[in-house]
Amino acid sequence: MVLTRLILLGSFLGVLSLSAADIRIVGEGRGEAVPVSIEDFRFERGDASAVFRDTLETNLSRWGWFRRSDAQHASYYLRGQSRETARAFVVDVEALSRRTGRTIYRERFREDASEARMLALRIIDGLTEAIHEVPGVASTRVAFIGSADGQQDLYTIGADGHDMMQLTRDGVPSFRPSWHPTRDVIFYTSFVRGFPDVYRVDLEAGRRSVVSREAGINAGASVSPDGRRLALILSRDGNPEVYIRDKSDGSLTRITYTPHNAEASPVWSPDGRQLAFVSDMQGGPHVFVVSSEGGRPRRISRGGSQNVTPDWGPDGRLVYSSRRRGRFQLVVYDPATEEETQITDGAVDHENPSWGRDGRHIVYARRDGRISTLHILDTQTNGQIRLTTRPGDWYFPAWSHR
Amino acid sequence: MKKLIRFRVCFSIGLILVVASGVGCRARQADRGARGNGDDYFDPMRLDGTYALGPRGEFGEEILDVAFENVHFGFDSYNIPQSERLKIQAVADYMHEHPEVTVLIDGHCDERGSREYNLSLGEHRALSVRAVLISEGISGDRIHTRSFGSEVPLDPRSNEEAWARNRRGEFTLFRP
Repeated sequence: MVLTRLILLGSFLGVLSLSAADIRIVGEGRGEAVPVSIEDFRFERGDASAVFRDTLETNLSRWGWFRRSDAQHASYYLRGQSRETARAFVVDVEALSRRTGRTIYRERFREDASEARMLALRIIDGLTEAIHEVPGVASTRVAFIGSADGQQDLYTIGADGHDMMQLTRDGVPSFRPSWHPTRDVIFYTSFVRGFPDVYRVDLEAGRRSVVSREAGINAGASVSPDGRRLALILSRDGNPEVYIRDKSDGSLTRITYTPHNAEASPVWSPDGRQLAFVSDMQGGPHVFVVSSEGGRPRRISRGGSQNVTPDWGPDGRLVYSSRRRGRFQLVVYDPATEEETQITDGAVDHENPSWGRDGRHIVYARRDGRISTLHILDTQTNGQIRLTTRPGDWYFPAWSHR
Repeated sequence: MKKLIRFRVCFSIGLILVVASGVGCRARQADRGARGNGDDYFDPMRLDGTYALGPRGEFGEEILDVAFENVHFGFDSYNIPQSERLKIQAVADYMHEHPEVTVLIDGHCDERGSREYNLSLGEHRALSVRAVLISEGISGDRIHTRSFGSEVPLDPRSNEEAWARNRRGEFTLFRP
Protein backbone atom coordinates (compact mmCIF):
# COMPACT_ATOMS: atom_id res chain seq x y z
CA MET A 1 0.00 0.00 0.00
CA VAL A 2 1.03 3.53 -0.57
CA LEU A 3 1.93 5.03 2.77
CA THR A 4 2.62 8.47 1.54
CA ARG A 5 1.07 9.89 -1.48
CA LEU A 6 1.71 13.47 -2.38
CA ILE A 7 -1.00 15.23 -4.20
CA LEU A 8 -0.64 16.17 -7.78
CA LEU A 9 0.69 19.68 -7.60
CA GLY A 10 -0.76 21.20 -10.66
CA SER A 11 -2.28 20.28 -13.95
CA PHE A 12 -0.56 21.50 -16.99
CA LEU A 13 -2.68 22.87 -19.81
CA GLY A 14 -0.32 22.82 -22.71
CA VAL A 15 -0.90 22.82 -26.42
CA LEU A 16 -0.14 19.12 -26.58
CA SER A 17 -2.85 18.01 -24.19
CA LEU A 18 -5.59 16.02 -25.82
CA SER A 19 -9.13 15.75 -24.63
CA ALA A 20 -11.30 12.81 -25.56
CA ALA A 21 -13.10 14.91 -28.16
CA ASP A 22 -9.85 15.51 -30.03
CA ILE A 23 -9.12 11.84 -30.59
CA ARG A 24 -9.28 10.91 -34.19
CA ILE A 25 -9.35 7.71 -36.09
CA VAL A 26 -6.56 6.22 -38.12
CA GLY A 27 -5.89 8.06 -41.32
CA GLU A 28 -7.26 11.37 -40.08
CA GLY A 29 -4.45 12.29 -37.75
CA ARG A 30 -1.42 11.03 -35.94
CA GLY A 31 -1.06 11.07 -32.19
CA GLU A 32 1.81 13.24 -31.06
CA ALA A 33 4.13 11.45 -28.65
CA VAL A 34 5.52 13.89 -26.08
CA PRO A 35 9.32 13.56 -25.51
CA VAL A 36 10.15 12.66 -21.91
CA SER A 37 13.60 12.21 -20.40
CA ILE A 38 14.45 9.95 -17.45
CA GLU A 39 18.19 10.84 -17.52
CA ASP A 40 17.90 12.87 -14.31
CA PHE A 41 16.19 10.08 -12.37
CA ARG A 42 18.51 8.12 -10.07
CA PHE A 43 17.93 4.36 -9.93
CA GLU A 44 19.84 3.00 -6.97
CA ARG A 45 21.27 -0.50 -7.02
CA GLY A 46 19.10 -3.51 -6.29
CA ASP A 47 16.74 -6.00 -7.91
CA ALA A 48 13.57 -3.96 -7.36
CA SER A 49 15.19 -0.84 -8.79
CA ALA A 50 16.30 -2.84 -11.84
CA VAL A 51 12.75 -4.11 -12.44
CA PHE A 52 11.41 -0.61 -11.88
CA ARG A 53 13.85 0.91 -14.34
CA ASP A 54 13.28 -1.75 -16.98
CA THR A 55 9.48 -1.41 -16.71
CA LEU A 56 9.64 2.37 -16.90
CA GLU A 57 11.94 2.36 -19.92
CA THR A 58 9.99 -0.32 -21.78
CA ASN A 59 6.51 1.06 -21.13
CA LEU A 60 6.96 4.83 -21.29
CA SER A 61 6.67 4.82 -25.08
CA ARG A 62 4.38 1.76 -25.32
CA TRP A 63 1.10 3.68 -25.42
CA GLY A 64 1.92 6.45 -27.87
CA TRP A 65 1.48 9.28 -25.36
CA PHE A 66 5.25 9.64 -24.78
CA ARG A 67 8.56 8.85 -26.36
CA ARG A 68 11.87 8.57 -24.56
CA SER A 69 14.21 11.42 -25.23
CA ASP A 70 17.52 12.83 -24.02
CA ALA A 71 17.31 15.63 -21.49
CA GLN A 72 18.09 18.32 -24.04
CA HIS A 73 15.15 17.55 -26.35
CA ALA A 74 12.60 16.55 -23.71
CA SER A 75 9.41 18.51 -23.09
CA TYR A 76 9.26 16.95 -19.63
CA TYR A 77 11.83 15.26 -17.47
CA LEU A 78 11.58 12.96 -14.48
CA ARG A 79 13.71 13.44 -11.43
CA GLY A 80 13.89 11.74 -8.07
CA GLN A 81 15.18 8.35 -7.06
CA SER A 82 14.26 4.75 -6.34
CA ARG A 83 15.89 2.95 -3.44
CA GLU A 84 15.51 -0.24 -1.48
CA THR A 85 15.49 -0.33 2.28
CA ALA A 86 15.49 -3.51 4.32
CA ARG A 87 11.71 -3.50 4.41
CA ALA A 88 10.45 -1.53 1.45
CA PHE A 89 10.99 -0.18 -2.02
CA VAL A 90 10.75 3.61 -2.01
CA VAL A 91 10.24 5.85 -5.02
CA ASP A 92 10.25 9.63 -5.03
CA VAL A 93 9.34 10.92 -8.45
CA GLU A 94 8.63 14.31 -9.92
CA ALA A 95 7.90 15.37 -13.50
CA LEU A 96 8.79 18.89 -14.59
CA SER A 97 8.09 20.91 -17.67
CA ARG A 98 11.35 21.83 -19.36
CA ARG A 99 9.83 25.02 -20.74
CA THR A 100 8.28 26.42 -17.58
CA GLY A 101 10.25 24.55 -14.94
CA ARG A 102 7.00 23.77 -13.15
CA THR A 103 6.32 20.44 -11.47
CA ILE A 104 3.31 18.85 -13.13
CA TYR A 105 3.37 15.50 -11.30
CA ARG A 106 4.81 14.32 -8.02
CA GLU A 107 4.39 11.09 -6.06
CA ARG A 108 6.08 9.28 -3.23
CA PHE A 109 5.63 5.53 -2.97
CA ARG A 110 6.69 3.13 -0.27
CA GLU A 111 5.78 -0.41 -1.22
CA ASP A 112 6.90 -4.01 -1.02
CA ALA A 113 9.73 -4.73 -3.46
CA SER A 114 7.37 -7.03 -5.40
CA GLU A 115 5.40 -3.91 -6.44
CA ALA A 116 8.31 -2.38 -8.37
CA ARG A 117 6.84 -3.19 -11.79
CA MET A 118 3.38 -1.93 -10.83
CA LEU A 119 4.83 1.34 -9.46
CA ALA A 120 6.51 2.09 -12.78
CA LEU A 121 3.22 1.47 -14.59
CA ARG A 122 1.30 3.70 -12.17
CA ILE A 123 3.79 6.49 -12.68
CA ILE A 124 3.30 6.25 -16.46
CA ASP A 125 -0.48 6.46 -15.93
CA GLY A 126 0.06 9.43 -13.60
CA LEU A 127 2.07 11.21 -16.29
CA THR A 128 -0.57 10.42 -18.91
CA GLU A 129 -3.25 11.93 -16.68
CA ALA A 130 -1.15 15.00 -15.84
CA ILE A 131 0.03 15.78 -19.36
CA HIS A 132 -2.72 14.45 -21.62
CA GLU A 133 -5.65 14.60 -19.17
CA VAL A 134 -6.57 11.02 -20.05
CA PRO A 135 -6.55 8.00 -17.73
CA GLY A 136 -3.68 5.80 -18.92
CA VAL A 137 -3.94 2.06 -19.50
CA ALA A 138 -0.38 1.11 -18.44
CA SER A 139 -1.42 -0.31 -15.05
CA THR A 140 -4.73 -1.87 -16.18
CA ARG A 141 -5.39 -5.57 -16.83
CA VAL A 142 -7.11 -7.61 -19.51
CA ALA A 143 -9.31 -10.61 -18.67
CA PHE A 144 -9.75 -13.20 -21.38
CA ILE A 145 -10.64 -16.77 -22.26
CA GLY A 146 -8.32 -19.20 -23.92
CA SER A 147 -6.32 -22.33 -23.87
CA ALA A 148 -2.76 -23.48 -24.24
CA ASP A 149 -3.79 -27.09 -24.82
CA GLY A 150 -7.38 -27.02 -26.09
CA GLN A 151 -8.82 -26.69 -22.56
CA GLN A 152 -10.67 -23.38 -22.19
CA ASP A 153 -10.17 -21.34 -19.02
CA LEU A 154 -10.32 -17.80 -17.64
CA TYR A 155 -7.11 -15.75 -17.53
CA THR A 156 -5.92 -12.21 -16.86
CA ILE A 157 -2.80 -10.40 -18.06
CA GLY A 158 -1.27 -6.99 -17.40
CA ALA A 159 -1.66 -4.49 -20.25
CA ASP A 160 2.17 -4.44 -20.38
CA GLY A 161 2.08 -8.13 -21.40
CA HIS A 162 3.45 -9.36 -18.06
CA ASP A 163 1.94 -11.26 -15.15
CA MET A 164 -0.39 -13.60 -17.06
CA MET A 165 -2.52 -15.51 -14.56
CA GLN A 166 -4.73 -18.56 -15.05
CA LEU A 167 -7.78 -18.19 -12.79
CA THR A 168 -9.60 -21.47 -13.50
CA ARG A 169 -8.65 -25.04 -14.41
CA ASP A 170 -11.94 -26.28 -15.80
CA GLY A 171 -11.21 -26.98 -19.45
CA VAL A 172 -14.80 -26.29 -20.50
CA PRO A 173 -16.38 -23.85 -23.00
CA SER A 174 -16.26 -20.38 -21.47
CA PHE A 175 -17.39 -16.99 -22.77
CA ARG A 176 -16.74 -13.25 -22.56
CA PRO A 177 -15.55 -11.93 -19.19
CA SER A 178 -16.77 -8.56 -17.87
CA TRP A 179 -15.04 -6.54 -15.17
CA HIS A 180 -16.82 -4.99 -12.25
CA PRO A 181 -15.82 -1.28 -12.20
CA THR A 182 -13.82 -1.80 -8.99
CA ARG A 183 -11.63 -4.39 -10.77
CA ASP A 184 -11.95 -6.95 -7.96
CA VAL A 185 -14.68 -9.07 -9.59
CA ILE A 186 -14.99 -10.68 -13.03
CA PHE A 187 -18.27 -12.04 -14.42
CA TYR A 188 -18.22 -14.66 -17.19
CA THR A 189 -20.07 -17.63 -18.68
CA SER A 190 -18.83 -21.17 -18.11
CA PHE A 191 -19.99 -24.74 -18.80
CA VAL A 192 -18.34 -25.93 -15.59
CA ARG A 193 -21.64 -27.46 -14.44
CA GLY A 194 -22.51 -28.74 -17.91
CA PHE A 195 -24.68 -25.81 -18.99
CA PRO A 196 -23.96 -22.20 -19.95
CA ASP A 197 -24.24 -20.44 -16.58
CA VAL A 198 -23.01 -17.04 -15.38
CA TYR A 199 -20.43 -16.91 -12.59
CA ARG A 200 -18.65 -14.22 -10.66
CA VAL A 201 -15.02 -14.62 -9.72
CA ASP A 202 -13.97 -12.68 -6.64
CA LEU A 203 -10.29 -11.97 -7.23
CA GLU A 204 -9.39 -10.87 -3.69
CA ALA A 205 -11.05 -13.83 -2.01
CA GLY A 206 -10.16 -16.30 -4.79
CA ARG A 207 -13.75 -17.51 -4.85
CA ARG A 208 -16.21 -18.27 -7.61
CA SER A 209 -19.98 -18.27 -7.18
CA VAL A 210 -22.92 -18.78 -9.50
CA VAL A 211 -24.88 -15.69 -10.54
CA SER A 212 -27.45 -17.14 -12.94
CA ARG A 213 -28.26 -20.76 -13.74
CA GLU A 214 -31.78 -20.78 -14.97
CA ALA A 215 -33.06 -23.27 -17.52
CA GLY A 216 -31.70 -22.60 -20.98
CA ILE A 217 -28.97 -20.09 -21.72
CA ASN A 218 -27.35 -17.79 -19.12
CA ALA A 219 -24.73 -15.66 -20.82
CA GLY A 220 -23.48 -12.24 -21.85
CA ALA A 221 -23.04 -10.82 -18.35
CA SER A 222 -22.09 -7.13 -18.51
CA VAL A 223 -21.76 -4.94 -15.41
CA SER A 224 -23.23 -1.42 -15.52
CA PRO A 225 -20.78 1.47 -14.99
CA ASP A 226 -22.18 2.06 -11.48
CA GLY A 227 -21.72 -1.64 -10.70
CA ARG A 228 -25.34 -2.00 -9.59
CA ARG A 229 -26.93 -3.73 -12.57
CA LEU A 230 -26.05 -6.75 -14.65
CA ALA A 231 -27.16 -7.14 -18.27
CA LEU A 232 -27.71 -10.78 -19.21
CA ILE A 233 -28.88 -13.02 -22.04
CA LEU A 234 -31.44 -15.52 -20.74
CA SER A 235 -33.87 -17.88 -22.51
CA ARG A 236 -36.04 -18.45 -19.44
CA ASP A 237 -39.11 -17.09 -21.21
CA GLY A 238 -38.67 -19.44 -24.16
CA ASN A 239 -36.20 -17.54 -26.32
CA PRO A 240 -32.85 -15.75 -25.84
CA GLU A 241 -33.55 -12.14 -24.80
CA VAL A 242 -31.72 -9.25 -23.09
CA TYR A 243 -32.48 -8.79 -19.39
CA ILE A 244 -31.20 -6.51 -16.65
CA ARG A 245 -30.80 -7.83 -13.14
CA ASP A 246 -30.72 -5.26 -10.35
CA LYS A 247 -28.09 -6.43 -7.91
CA SER A 248 -29.64 -4.78 -4.87
CA ASP A 249 -32.94 -6.67 -4.89
CA GLY A 250 -32.30 -9.32 -7.57
CA SER A 251 -35.23 -8.08 -9.65
CA LEU A 252 -35.16 -8.92 -13.33
CA THR A 253 -36.29 -6.56 -16.11
CA ARG A 254 -36.79 -7.92 -19.59
CA ILE A 255 -35.48 -5.49 -22.22
CA THR A 256 -36.12 -7.19 -25.58
CA TYR A 257 -39.21 -8.93 -26.92
CA THR A 258 -38.14 -10.78 -30.05
CA PRO A 259 -39.77 -14.22 -29.92
CA HIS A 260 -38.39 -15.20 -33.33
CA ASN A 261 -34.86 -13.89 -32.89
CA ALA A 262 -31.72 -14.43 -30.87
CA GLU A 263 -29.90 -11.73 -28.88
CA ALA A 264 -26.31 -11.73 -27.60
CA SER A 265 -23.44 -9.62 -26.26
CA PRO A 266 -25.07 -6.73 -24.31
CA VAL A 267 -22.79 -3.86 -23.19
CA TRP A 268 -23.55 -0.62 -21.34
CA SER A 269 -23.09 2.94 -22.51
CA PRO A 270 -20.66 4.94 -20.31
CA ASP A 271 -23.58 6.79 -18.66
CA GLY A 272 -25.46 3.54 -18.00
CA ARG A 273 -28.57 4.77 -19.82
CA GLN A 274 -28.34 2.60 -22.92
CA LEU A 275 -27.34 -0.90 -23.95
CA ALA A 276 -25.81 -2.06 -27.21
CA PHE A 277 -26.35 -5.69 -28.15
CA VAL A 278 -26.41 -8.11 -31.07
CA SER A 279 -29.67 -9.34 -32.57
CA ASP A 280 -30.69 -11.10 -35.78
CA MET A 281 -34.09 -9.41 -35.79
CA GLN A 282 -33.30 -7.81 -39.17
CA GLY A 283 -31.65 -10.85 -40.76
CA GLY A 284 -28.12 -11.80 -39.79
CA PRO A 285 -26.58 -10.57 -36.56
CA HIS A 286 -26.32 -6.76 -36.28
CA VAL A 287 -25.69 -4.22 -33.53
CA PHE A 288 -28.66 -2.51 -31.91
CA VAL A 289 -28.99 0.13 -29.20
CA VAL A 290 -31.84 0.32 -26.68
CA SER A 291 -32.60 2.37 -23.59
CA SER A 292 -31.74 0.53 -20.37
CA GLU A 293 -35.36 1.26 -19.41
CA GLY A 294 -36.50 -0.82 -22.39
CA GLY A 295 -38.33 0.31 -25.52
CA ARG A 296 -37.74 -0.11 -29.21
CA PRO A 297 -34.19 -1.06 -30.22
CA ARG A 298 -32.51 0.94 -32.98
CA ARG A 299 -30.08 -0.69 -35.39
CA ILE A 300 -26.78 1.17 -35.67
CA SER A 301 -24.56 -1.12 -37.78
CA ARG A 302 -25.11 -0.67 -41.52
CA GLY A 303 -22.20 -2.11 -43.47
CA GLY A 304 -21.00 -5.70 -43.32
CA SER A 305 -22.93 -8.97 -43.57
CA GLN A 306 -22.60 -9.57 -39.79
CA ASN A 307 -21.87 -7.12 -36.98
CA VAL A 308 -21.09 -8.64 -33.60
CA THR A 309 -19.48 -8.17 -30.15
CA PRO A 310 -19.93 -4.39 -29.60
CA ASP A 311 -18.07 -2.47 -26.91
CA TRP A 312 -18.95 1.06 -25.82
CA GLY A 313 -15.92 3.31 -25.24
CA PRO A 314 -15.45 5.96 -22.54
CA ASP A 315 -15.96 8.83 -25.02
CA GLY A 316 -19.25 7.40 -26.30
CA ARG A 317 -17.98 5.77 -29.47
CA LEU A 318 -18.66 2.08 -30.10
CA VAL A 319 -16.44 -0.54 -31.69
CA TYR A 320 -17.61 -3.86 -33.10
CA SER A 321 -16.54 -6.64 -35.46
CA SER A 322 -18.00 -6.32 -38.93
CA ARG A 323 -17.77 -9.07 -41.52
CA ARG A 324 -16.55 -7.42 -44.72
CA ARG A 325 -15.27 -9.30 -47.78
CA GLY A 326 -15.21 -12.53 -45.82
CA ARG A 327 -13.21 -11.20 -42.85
CA PHE A 328 -14.12 -9.62 -39.53
CA GLN A 329 -12.78 -6.07 -39.37
CA LEU A 330 -13.06 -3.58 -36.54
CA VAL A 331 -15.48 -0.72 -37.10
CA VAL A 332 -15.87 2.37 -34.91
CA TYR A 333 -19.33 3.93 -34.76
CA ASP A 334 -19.73 7.53 -33.68
CA PRO A 335 -23.25 8.22 -32.32
CA ALA A 336 -22.83 11.96 -32.96
CA THR A 337 -22.43 11.53 -36.72
CA GLU A 338 -24.00 8.04 -37.00
CA GLU A 339 -21.02 7.12 -39.17
CA GLU A 340 -19.10 3.85 -39.28
CA THR A 341 -15.34 3.91 -39.84
CA GLN A 342 -13.49 0.70 -40.61
CA ILE A 343 -10.19 0.82 -38.72
CA THR A 344 -8.56 -2.51 -39.64
CA ASP A 345 -7.83 -4.31 -42.87
CA GLY A 346 -6.07 -7.44 -44.03
CA ALA A 347 -6.64 -11.17 -44.39
CA VAL A 348 -7.14 -12.02 -40.70
CA ASP A 349 -10.21 -11.81 -38.48
CA HIS A 350 -10.40 -9.02 -35.89
CA GLU A 351 -12.78 -10.15 -33.14
CA ASN A 352 -14.05 -9.28 -29.63
CA PRO A 353 -12.83 -5.64 -29.46
CA SER A 354 -12.68 -3.99 -26.02
CA TRP A 355 -11.85 -0.32 -25.38
CA GLY A 356 -9.12 0.77 -23.02
CA ARG A 357 -10.10 3.45 -20.53
CA ASP A 358 -8.03 6.00 -22.49
CA GLY A 359 -10.53 5.81 -25.37
CA ARG A 360 -7.56 5.42 -27.70
CA HIS A 361 -6.49 1.78 -27.52
CA ILE A 362 -8.55 -1.30 -28.34
CA VAL A 363 -7.62 -4.85 -27.36
CA TYR A 364 -8.99 -7.54 -29.67
CA ALA A 365 -8.57 -11.17 -30.71
CA ARG A 366 -6.68 -11.45 -33.97
CA ARG A 367 -7.57 -14.76 -35.57
CA ASP A 368 -5.41 -16.28 -38.26
CA GLY A 369 -6.99 -19.57 -39.28
CA ARG A 370 -8.05 -21.35 -36.09
CA ILE A 371 -5.74 -19.62 -33.63
CA SER A 372 -6.36 -16.24 -31.99
CA THR A 373 -3.87 -14.02 -30.19
CA LEU A 374 -4.64 -10.83 -28.31
CA HIS A 375 -3.46 -7.62 -29.92
CA ILE A 376 -3.74 -3.98 -28.93
CA LEU A 377 -4.55 -1.42 -31.61
CA ASP A 378 -3.68 2.26 -31.24
CA THR A 379 -6.54 4.04 -33.03
CA GLN A 380 -4.48 7.20 -33.44
CA THR A 381 -1.35 5.75 -35.02
CA ASN A 382 -2.71 2.41 -36.28
CA GLY A 383 0.18 0.84 -34.33
CA GLN A 384 -0.27 -2.75 -33.15
CA ILE A 385 1.11 -4.46 -30.07
CA ARG A 386 0.85 -8.20 -29.58
CA LEU A 387 -0.30 -8.75 -25.99
CA THR A 388 -0.20 -12.53 -25.58
CA THR A 389 3.03 -14.24 -26.54
CA ARG A 390 2.50 -17.62 -24.91
CA PRO A 391 1.53 -20.24 -27.54
CA GLY A 392 -2.18 -21.01 -27.43
CA ASP A 393 -5.58 -19.79 -28.55
CA TRP A 394 -6.58 -16.58 -26.75
CA TYR A 395 -9.81 -14.61 -27.25
CA PHE A 396 -12.68 -12.68 -25.54
CA PRO A 397 -10.40 -9.96 -24.13
CA ALA A 398 -12.07 -7.50 -21.72
CA TRP A 399 -10.09 -4.45 -20.66
CA SER A 400 -10.43 -3.36 -17.03
CA HIS A 401 -11.50 0.23 -16.39
CA ARG A 402 -9.15 0.63 -13.45
CA MET B 1 -24.93 -38.15 -19.05
CA LYS B 2 -21.68 -38.66 -20.88
CA LYS B 3 -21.30 -35.15 -22.14
CA LEU B 4 -21.79 -33.62 -18.74
CA ILE B 5 -19.37 -35.95 -17.06
CA ARG B 6 -16.82 -35.44 -19.80
CA PHE B 7 -16.14 -31.94 -18.54
CA ARG B 8 -13.46 -31.91 -15.96
CA VAL B 9 -14.79 -30.26 -12.87
CA CYS B 10 -11.78 -29.20 -10.90
CA PHE B 11 -10.75 -25.82 -9.68
CA SER B 12 -7.51 -24.07 -9.15
CA ILE B 13 -6.10 -21.60 -6.68
CA GLY B 14 -8.78 -22.22 -4.16
CA LEU B 15 -11.68 -21.23 -6.35
CA ILE B 16 -14.66 -22.67 -4.60
CA LEU B 17 -17.85 -23.15 -6.46
CA VAL B 18 -20.76 -22.08 -4.40
CA VAL B 19 -23.51 -24.38 -5.41
CA ALA B 20 -26.29 -21.96 -5.02
CA SER B 21 -29.68 -22.84 -6.29
CA GLY B 22 -30.78 -20.97 -9.38
CA VAL B 23 -31.82 -17.45 -8.66
CA GLY B 24 -35.30 -16.59 -9.70
CA CYS B 25 -36.20 -20.01 -11.10
CA ARG B 26 -39.90 -20.46 -11.36
CA ALA B 27 -41.68 -23.66 -12.15
CA ARG B 28 -44.22 -23.15 -14.87
CA GLN B 29 -46.90 -25.60 -15.84
CA ALA B 30 -48.18 -23.58 -18.77
CA ASP B 31 -46.54 -25.86 -21.31
CA ARG B 32 -48.97 -28.70 -20.80
CA GLY B 33 -51.42 -29.69 -23.51
CA ALA B 34 -52.00 -27.60 -26.62
CA ARG B 35 -51.43 -29.88 -29.56
CA GLY B 36 -50.67 -27.85 -32.64
CA ASN B 37 -52.09 -28.52 -36.07
CA GLY B 38 -51.00 -27.77 -39.60
CA ASP B 39 -48.34 -25.22 -40.32
CA ASP B 40 -48.98 -22.86 -37.46
CA TYR B 41 -46.88 -25.03 -35.18
CA PHE B 42 -43.94 -22.69 -35.16
CA ASP B 43 -45.82 -19.49 -34.55
CA PRO B 44 -46.63 -20.28 -30.93
CA MET B 45 -43.26 -18.98 -29.68
CA ARG B 46 -45.38 -16.18 -28.35
CA LEU B 47 -45.07 -13.85 -25.44
CA ASP B 48 -47.70 -15.38 -23.17
CA GLY B 49 -45.27 -17.67 -21.40
CA THR B 50 -46.48 -20.79 -23.19
CA TYR B 51 -42.98 -21.70 -24.18
CA ALA B 52 -41.22 -20.50 -21.04
CA LEU B 53 -38.69 -22.97 -19.72
CA GLY B 54 -39.32 -24.82 -16.50
CA PRO B 55 -36.61 -25.26 -13.88
CA ARG B 56 -33.57 -27.25 -14.85
CA GLY B 57 -34.17 -30.62 -13.29
CA GLU B 58 -32.42 -33.91 -12.77
CA PHE B 59 -31.99 -35.85 -15.96
CA GLY B 60 -32.04 -39.46 -14.77
CA GLU B 61 -30.54 -42.34 -16.73
CA GLU B 62 -29.54 -41.78 -20.33
CA ILE B 63 -31.34 -44.03 -22.82
CA LEU B 64 -28.64 -45.54 -25.01
CA ASP B 65 -30.53 -48.32 -26.85
CA VAL B 66 -32.58 -45.94 -29.01
CA ALA B 67 -30.90 -43.38 -31.23
CA PHE B 68 -32.51 -40.40 -32.92
CA GLU B 69 -31.18 -38.53 -35.90
CA ASN B 70 -29.77 -35.04 -35.58
CA VAL B 71 -31.90 -32.18 -36.88
CA HIS B 72 -30.00 -30.00 -39.36
CA PHE B 73 -30.29 -26.27 -40.01
CA GLY B 74 -29.43 -23.81 -42.77
CA PHE B 75 -26.70 -21.20 -42.36
CA ASP B 76 -27.56 -18.56 -39.73
CA SER B 77 -31.03 -20.11 -39.45
CA TYR B 78 -33.12 -21.74 -36.77
CA ASN B 79 -35.99 -22.63 -39.13
CA ILE B 80 -36.75 -26.32 -39.35
CA PRO B 81 -37.08 -27.60 -42.93
CA GLN B 82 -39.88 -30.07 -43.72
CA SER B 83 -37.34 -32.88 -44.14
CA GLU B 84 -36.11 -32.37 -40.59
CA ARG B 85 -39.57 -32.23 -39.04
CA LEU B 86 -40.00 -36.01 -39.41
CA LYS B 87 -36.95 -36.57 -37.19
CA ILE B 88 -38.59 -34.54 -34.44
CA GLN B 89 -41.88 -36.37 -34.90
CA ALA B 90 -40.01 -39.64 -34.32
CA VAL B 91 -38.85 -38.32 -30.95
CA ALA B 92 -42.38 -37.14 -30.15
CA ASP B 93 -43.79 -40.58 -31.02
CA TYR B 94 -41.29 -42.28 -28.71
CA MET B 95 -42.08 -39.86 -25.90
CA HIS B 96 -45.83 -40.47 -26.34
CA GLU B 97 -45.17 -44.22 -26.02
CA HIS B 98 -42.93 -43.66 -22.98
CA PRO B 99 -44.56 -40.93 -20.91
CA GLU B 100 -41.83 -41.13 -18.24
CA VAL B 101 -39.10 -40.16 -20.71
CA THR B 102 -37.60 -36.65 -20.84
CA VAL B 103 -35.40 -35.16 -23.53
CA LEU B 104 -32.45 -32.78 -23.66
CA ILE B 105 -32.00 -30.97 -26.96
CA ASP B 106 -28.48 -29.68 -27.63
CA GLY B 107 -28.23 -26.87 -30.18
CA HIS B 108 -24.99 -26.46 -32.14
CA CYS B 109 -23.65 -24.03 -34.73
CA ASP B 110 -20.89 -24.09 -37.30
CA GLU B 111 -17.65 -22.32 -36.49
CA ARG B 112 -18.34 -19.20 -38.54
CA GLY B 113 -19.36 -16.01 -36.79
CA SER B 114 -19.12 -14.81 -33.22
CA ARG B 115 -18.84 -17.44 -30.48
CA GLU B 116 -21.22 -15.40 -28.32
CA TYR B 117 -23.87 -14.99 -31.00
CA ASN B 118 -23.51 -18.68 -31.83
CA LEU B 119 -24.28 -19.53 -28.20
CA SER B 120 -27.58 -17.64 -28.55
CA LEU B 121 -28.27 -19.06 -32.03
CA GLY B 122 -27.65 -22.61 -30.80
CA GLU B 123 -30.14 -22.03 -27.99
CA HIS B 124 -32.65 -20.66 -30.48
CA ARG B 125 -32.21 -23.81 -32.60
CA ALA B 126 -32.77 -26.06 -29.60
CA LEU B 127 -35.85 -24.02 -28.67
CA SER B 128 -37.21 -24.32 -32.23
CA VAL B 129 -36.97 -28.11 -31.95
CA ARG B 130 -38.62 -27.84 -28.54
CA ALA B 131 -41.48 -25.83 -30.05
CA VAL B 132 -42.12 -28.58 -32.59
CA LEU B 133 -42.16 -31.23 -29.84
CA ILE B 134 -44.66 -29.12 -27.89
CA SER B 135 -46.81 -28.76 -30.98
CA GLU B 136 -46.71 -32.56 -31.24
CA GLY B 137 -48.29 -32.73 -27.81
CA ILE B 138 -45.20 -33.26 -25.63
CA SER B 139 -45.38 -31.29 -22.40
CA GLY B 140 -42.78 -28.54 -22.17
CA ASP B 141 -41.65 -29.66 -18.74
CA ARG B 142 -40.32 -32.89 -20.32
CA ILE B 143 -38.12 -30.94 -22.74
CA HIS B 144 -34.82 -29.30 -21.76
CA THR B 145 -32.52 -27.31 -24.00
CA ARG B 146 -28.85 -26.50 -24.00
CA SER B 147 -26.69 -24.59 -26.43
CA PHE B 148 -23.05 -25.33 -27.08
CA GLY B 149 -22.75 -22.56 -29.65
CA SER B 150 -19.89 -23.51 -31.96
CA GLU B 151 -17.75 -25.06 -29.20
CA VAL B 152 -18.39 -28.76 -29.91
CA PRO B 153 -18.25 -29.46 -33.65
CA LEU B 154 -18.98 -32.99 -34.92
CA ASP B 155 -16.69 -32.47 -37.88
CA PRO B 156 -13.55 -30.41 -37.25
CA ARG B 157 -12.95 -29.50 -40.89
CA SER B 158 -13.62 -26.03 -42.31
CA ASN B 159 -15.75 -26.65 -45.39
CA GLU B 160 -19.40 -26.55 -46.42
CA GLU B 161 -19.94 -30.25 -45.75
CA ALA B 162 -18.52 -30.03 -42.22
CA TRP B 163 -20.42 -26.82 -41.46
CA ALA B 164 -23.71 -28.44 -42.60
CA ARG B 165 -23.09 -31.42 -40.27
CA ASN B 166 -22.19 -29.14 -37.38
CA ARG B 167 -25.38 -26.99 -37.60
CA ARG B 168 -27.54 -29.41 -35.67
CA GLY B 169 -29.87 -30.26 -32.85
CA GLU B 170 -29.01 -33.44 -30.92
CA PHE B 171 -31.41 -35.48 -28.80
CA THR B 172 -30.49 -37.21 -25.56
CA LEU B 173 -33.35 -39.06 -23.88
CA PHE B 174 -33.56 -40.00 -20.21
CA ARG B 175 -35.68 -42.25 -18.08
CA PRO B 176 -36.16 -41.47 -14.39
